[in-house]
Amino acid sequence: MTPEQIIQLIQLVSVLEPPVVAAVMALLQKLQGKSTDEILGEADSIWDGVRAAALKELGK
Amino acid sequence: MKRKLVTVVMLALILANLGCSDKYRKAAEAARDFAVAVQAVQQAEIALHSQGMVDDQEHLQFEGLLVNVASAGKQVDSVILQASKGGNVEAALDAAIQSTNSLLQDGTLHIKNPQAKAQLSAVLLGAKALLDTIAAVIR
Repeated sequence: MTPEQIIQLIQLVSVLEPPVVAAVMALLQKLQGKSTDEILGEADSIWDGVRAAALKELGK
Repeated sequence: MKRKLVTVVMLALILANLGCSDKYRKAAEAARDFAVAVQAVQQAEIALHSQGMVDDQEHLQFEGLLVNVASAGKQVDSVILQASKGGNVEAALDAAIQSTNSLLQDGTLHIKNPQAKAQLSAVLLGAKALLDTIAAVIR
């Protein structure tokens, strides 16, 4: 289960215990920061830069 | 009573998942740091080449190698992403890390200038440590 799915689940059941759910949501979103996908996207962009610079040095 | 039970189950689910997603986020951060470290190695090598401490042949070999390291690095990223979605990636992770590691090991083999070699080896060592971190976090 991904954090996004958990957030969706919490939203679905938020009618049951609104104050608790609101507190948990706030905590979760605070802890989340950048998602794993976003961080890996940054890493991929850096690799694209490394590859482009290497090809430039190789004259390709 | 039923509402309380739902809340408790939900909290347990969240806490269990936080530990798990934290694990993959740590691996992703190590993968990003690894890419940054290799980019730093590349910039150092280009600077050493322009200072004449790395000859043209060594420079071309090194940059050619980095094209492959960049592909292997993206493979590592992809494996971490699959793992974070619940995929069983142990074999793929091992293969990606091993190929990246061996590419990095070959990196300084052909560099003759001892000062340039020492400088690049030191940065590569740091990059390899990050790969070990990814492997340790994922397993």
